[in-house]
Amino acid sequence: MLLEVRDLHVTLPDQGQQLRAVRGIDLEVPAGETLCLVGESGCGKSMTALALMQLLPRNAKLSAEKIRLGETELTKLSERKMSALRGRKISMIFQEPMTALNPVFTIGDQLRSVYRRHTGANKQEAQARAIEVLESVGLTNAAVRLGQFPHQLSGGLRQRVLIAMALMCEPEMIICDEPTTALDVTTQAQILRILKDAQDKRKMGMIFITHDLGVVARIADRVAVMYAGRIVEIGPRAAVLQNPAHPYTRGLIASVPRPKDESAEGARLASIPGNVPAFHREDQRCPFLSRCPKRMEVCTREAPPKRTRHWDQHVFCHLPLEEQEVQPA
Amino acid sequence: MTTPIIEARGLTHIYSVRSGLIGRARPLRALHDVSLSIGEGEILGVVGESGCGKSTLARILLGLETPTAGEVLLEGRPIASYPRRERALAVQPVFQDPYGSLNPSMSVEDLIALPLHIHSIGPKHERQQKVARIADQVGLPRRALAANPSQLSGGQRQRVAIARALVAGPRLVICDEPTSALDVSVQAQILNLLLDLRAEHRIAMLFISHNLSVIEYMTDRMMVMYLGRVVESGSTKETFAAPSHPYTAVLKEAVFTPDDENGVPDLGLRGNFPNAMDIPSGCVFHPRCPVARAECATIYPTLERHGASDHRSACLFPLNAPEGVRHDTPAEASPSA
Repeated sequence: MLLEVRDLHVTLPDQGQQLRAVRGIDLEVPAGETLCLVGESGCGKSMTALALMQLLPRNAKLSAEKIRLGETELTKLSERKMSALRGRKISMIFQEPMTALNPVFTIGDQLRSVYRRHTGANKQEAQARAIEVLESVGLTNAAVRLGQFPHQLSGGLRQRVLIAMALMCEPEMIICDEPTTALDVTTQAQILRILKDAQDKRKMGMIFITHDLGVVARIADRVAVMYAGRIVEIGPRAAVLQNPAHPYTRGLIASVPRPKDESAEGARLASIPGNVPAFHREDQRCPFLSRCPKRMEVCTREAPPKRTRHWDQHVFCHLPLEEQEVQPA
Repeated sequence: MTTPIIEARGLTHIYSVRSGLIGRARPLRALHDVSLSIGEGEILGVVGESGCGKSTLARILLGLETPTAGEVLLEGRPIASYPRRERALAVQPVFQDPYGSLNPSMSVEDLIALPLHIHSIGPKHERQQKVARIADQVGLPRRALAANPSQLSGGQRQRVAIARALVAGPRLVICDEPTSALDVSVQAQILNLLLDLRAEHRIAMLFISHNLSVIEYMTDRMMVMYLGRVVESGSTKETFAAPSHPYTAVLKEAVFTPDDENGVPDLGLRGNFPNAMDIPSGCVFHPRCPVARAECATIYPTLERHGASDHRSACLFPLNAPEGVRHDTPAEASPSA
């Protein structure tokens, strides 16, 4: 297993209390596979990514039984050793390419410095590598682009530069936090193709964070659905999307707009009433409890059991498996 | 035929853009010859990517911007002839960002009541009743009325923005990406709400979105825009079933739904994203079009009807065209931008 995470917790100070942003999640990503982390704002998906990169805000607290990348246990590394891994073994691509690039340095400065810091290459070698990688992400005139500043590029081009920067040292693992959310739909499709191509060539493991289930359907091998700091369902893409088991996953999929059904004139889009709660105190019960249409008495008392369907689709829910099957409307 | 609530004829808008401190001002043609009409209770969708002119169109229809050419008629009268208040009473916006469009120092109740106050509608107790009624309709709990916008969630803030837009009884609501900043489950609540309010108040709506699935779900008719031009328009159902312009087909292919697991498609787009300062000759889409031919670089296609219905597209070689339909007399050359 390329990446293995056990019992990851992240807490953040929040107005004098401790906000439990991530509450005990387990993840595994083999080489060459894409795991999509999906969920709505505040579900803890970005905090999970930052925890894996060891880039959490200073006031955040991280605890985990295990965060193992290849042969290296990341939780035990000093900041110095971790920063030697970051960008070399594990890279991250952020949502907002403008804030992730330094506005006062050229694209070339930024790409070369990543490479030289990790490999000790000289300037010419770094330049050649930068051109090679920029071309591989579909940038024309790479040599000219290297002399430009971030503000001279469009959003789509900036995002390609960030991808190039993440790929400079051929990492084994890449974490993408909503890398296409701020882009136009046609640019999104191009960027996703570039990412998938890069992954295929290098057999990289990928964690792709998104709230867009349409994107998940196109790129994921496995899907983890997060809600209020927990994973509520995890499994192969087709199983989770076409045969979701958790009431939250089902609600999320049903609320994606689709063409109105001819036969049901005036049919309404399914929506989940209420909002995502925040957890400040430890609570083992199901986080979806307050909004769940299938809530039972036992849900208000006990932690949801892990149930497994078809050997690798796992769901944390009290509902018996037979009731989790999709019923015809 | 009844007068449409709003009608725009041949709107063209040119901004003057200066690059740097000493750069020469250059024209940016944000809209070119855009016409539309929206009837009572109708929702017209506008879809397009950044720089397509959809927000400029919204600003002109709101009367916030005077077009360089063309006119806007609001219930048959030129919008420019309306006093500012009367215009604001008839046309109301709902913007994308519910954080930026609500004054953080006012209570929700005051925010919603503001249009009533400005237009001096009714005595105080009547205003309060109106606010309470509209708050119920948009699904805001009564206790939220005393809160500040900062105490509300994103979805609730958008409900406040919608309540404020509707409280004085507008004829037209212009929604500019009203759900883009919201989570999907909340987006669903807001879309349902807008459809309910349309059904109840017979409001006309212009609904702008970059999300084709949302357009398909929400609108009766739609326009596809590219670099300030309308490249396709028609009933939403027909346009989706058989897109006529290659750009519409590309957009449709770029929309991902949870049901389709066929990997990331190659859209066949060539070149880089267009620059609104440097509009291509001929068909504006030709440098990127997957099916462009030589003529497309020189001949400017106008918006033409294909077949019997009111489905139009601006393409010399439309997709899915009924047999024998083609432009035999291509339109005049492109106007220089």
